[in-house]
Amino acid sequence: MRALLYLNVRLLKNNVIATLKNPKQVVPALFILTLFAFPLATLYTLDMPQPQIQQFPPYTTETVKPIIFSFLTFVTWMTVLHSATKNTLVFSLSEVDFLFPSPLKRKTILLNRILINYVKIASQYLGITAFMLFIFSIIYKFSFWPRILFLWLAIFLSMVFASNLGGLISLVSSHLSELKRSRNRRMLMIIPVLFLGIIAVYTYQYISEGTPLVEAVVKALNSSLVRTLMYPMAAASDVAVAWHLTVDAGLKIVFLAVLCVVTLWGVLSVEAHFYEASEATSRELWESVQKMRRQEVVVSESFVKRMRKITPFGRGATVLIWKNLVGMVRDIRTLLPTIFMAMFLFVLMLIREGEFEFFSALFFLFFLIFITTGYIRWDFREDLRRIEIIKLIPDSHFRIVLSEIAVPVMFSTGVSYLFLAVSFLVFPGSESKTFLTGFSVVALPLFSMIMVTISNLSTLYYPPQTNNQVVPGILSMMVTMMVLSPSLFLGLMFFVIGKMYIGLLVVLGLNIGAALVLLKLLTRKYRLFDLTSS
Amino acid sequence: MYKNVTAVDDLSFTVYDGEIFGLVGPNGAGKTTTLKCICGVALPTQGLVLIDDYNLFENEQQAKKLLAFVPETPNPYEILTVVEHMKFISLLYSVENPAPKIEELLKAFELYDKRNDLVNSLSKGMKQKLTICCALVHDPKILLLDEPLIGIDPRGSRTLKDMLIQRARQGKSVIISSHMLYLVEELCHRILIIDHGKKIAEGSLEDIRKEALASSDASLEEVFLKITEEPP
Repeated sequence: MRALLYLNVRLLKNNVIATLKNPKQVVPALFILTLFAFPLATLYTLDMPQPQIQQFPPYTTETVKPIIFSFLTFVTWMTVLHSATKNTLVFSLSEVDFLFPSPLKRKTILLNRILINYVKIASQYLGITAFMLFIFSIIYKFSFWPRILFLWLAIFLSMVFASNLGGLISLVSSHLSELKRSRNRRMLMIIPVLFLGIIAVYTYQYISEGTPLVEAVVKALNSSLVRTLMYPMAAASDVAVAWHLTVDAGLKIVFLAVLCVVTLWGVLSVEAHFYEASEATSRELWESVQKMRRQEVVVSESFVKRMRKITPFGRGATVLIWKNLVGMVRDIRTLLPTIFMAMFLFVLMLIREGEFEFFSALFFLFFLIFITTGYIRWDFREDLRRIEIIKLIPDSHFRIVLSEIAVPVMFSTGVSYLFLAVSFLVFPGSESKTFLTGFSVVALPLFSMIMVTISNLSTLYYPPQTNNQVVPGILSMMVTMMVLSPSLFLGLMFFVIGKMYIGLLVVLGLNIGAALVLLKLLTRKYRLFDLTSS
Repeated sequence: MYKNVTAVDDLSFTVYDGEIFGLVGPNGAGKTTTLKCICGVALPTQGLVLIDDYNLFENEQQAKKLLAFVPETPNPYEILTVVEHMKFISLLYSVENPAPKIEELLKAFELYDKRNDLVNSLSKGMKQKLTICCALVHDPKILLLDEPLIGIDPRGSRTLKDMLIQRARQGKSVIISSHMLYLVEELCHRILIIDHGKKIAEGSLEDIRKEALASSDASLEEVFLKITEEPP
């Protein structure tokens, strides 16, 4: 254990020093921190009058609890399902080459990996929960310290439980073939589907009794049957909102801790095929990363076959549209959830039809674009490892960039157009309906292009193979906000002065300009891109 | 056997003290799997690995203390300095007072000037040298090397060869798996040729020549090609 402690401490120290010496990570991180710190400090020092706070009461325990419960349940099931096909206990090749043949016990190596995961979980969720709770505690003036302890402890313990459960499934099924693991995953899928079915039945029952949708979902999640079926997560959500130590909360913390210990013991007891499975997975994973780092390009036959010209659109770079289109259609794991989510969100919106105007429905469509462009990544985000091949295509850089980003833009536009058409038919006619529809027809692909271009810029500036993605993730969100905020501001301003139509035209013009600038920037970055120097 | 693929089948051999033992065979013959079985990374479905009377599967820790494995591709921890890496390996094998040994090895493999550099700044050949230094720091009784000379410069190769010969003279064993047949011919006392996970021939070069019905001056390459030739 002494050697592992030495290794972990040195790795942490050297990683921190290496990150601090990298201005590409430090400067944006400082910028982001400053941006967050200023409004927080202002809020903290601002003495908000009490009556004003009363107008916006904080979420009650009864509404926060189901939110935490559903989040924890979702994460747990995702972890379990993921573990059924992929090894969750992935080791680096260095660990495989130096720790596996060493005299260290297998259990010790496994425990070290698991404890490192726990530390990561603990620090990640401490950061997230502390940030969220701090903001709420400033706005709603409640005491931060006891609450953060309970909230963090509950989330940490349930995440540890989920991770142990995942590790256990991953180890037990590690010797099975890919086909069998895939079958097991499908069988496991039945459980969350049944669980969702029960929630849906309860919700429907409450809605038919006249309860509003949100309240019905909350009641369904708080129902004894649902809570019993996912009791560990229900207990964790009770602890999360306990706010102070009671006998009930204490017993539930002990229960969760026992669950964690028992599942950890289970993981450490299952050793069969641990080395072989870990080695095979690690080698596969890390060798692909190494290849990308060394700019080695894998030219597969299927890739070459996909390189077809799309005659109506011309030649050259358009092969990329075909390639990405085929890739997207084949990658059903991304495509189907995206379509289902879009449909789910749309149905939710339709249920609230009474409260929604056509104008509000358009906001949903822009949100939909935001979601779909994030999920469908058949552009430079997927093609970074093939960029050397792409650079060989004899066409202009601008056309190559346009072709690369075309598929996510076309997909998100297609989906949003579909829902725009449905919205146009479902919602009652109004004076501005036709104009707003016309505006959306132009604005939706434009917005999609802006979103995709920003994501691609982030990928080229911070390739995931060589960069931590936390800073670029936040940075691209902020750039998106910075690009779109002027449009929102102008649109509102023209709306207030009663000239909405002119405002919308101005917004379109502004966004066309922004899209062109971003595309030019992406073209330049693509032209100069070199993975080894990123 | 792993995921229904039999990588090594009915393979049995002994490596004696003070012997350099060569393991050769075509690609996919099962050489690396054999080495992984010996160092305890891969579990055979049947069979036994005895290291100095320790059964690897019953006394894993004791057996592994006597071993060191140098994989074909070096994968040292990138975010450790060279000297930190060596110290870590020393701690892993409970080496007492490792500093002089570390200094000696780093100087021998011309890594001493790089001792405070992060591993990710080293070339592939240097990483391979570091991996070899790590394998030697605890002075193992049995050294397993998988293609040890790939990426190493001529001076480094000479140093390694001299060290291996010296170790054999000290009564320690070395197992080398390599496609560089001249290296095996130059260094190894006995050779094992395997194909499709099965033993084809074992013994000194003389023995294998006789088994292959090759001439007495035939090189290992000629013998290997003859013995592994697919029947028409």
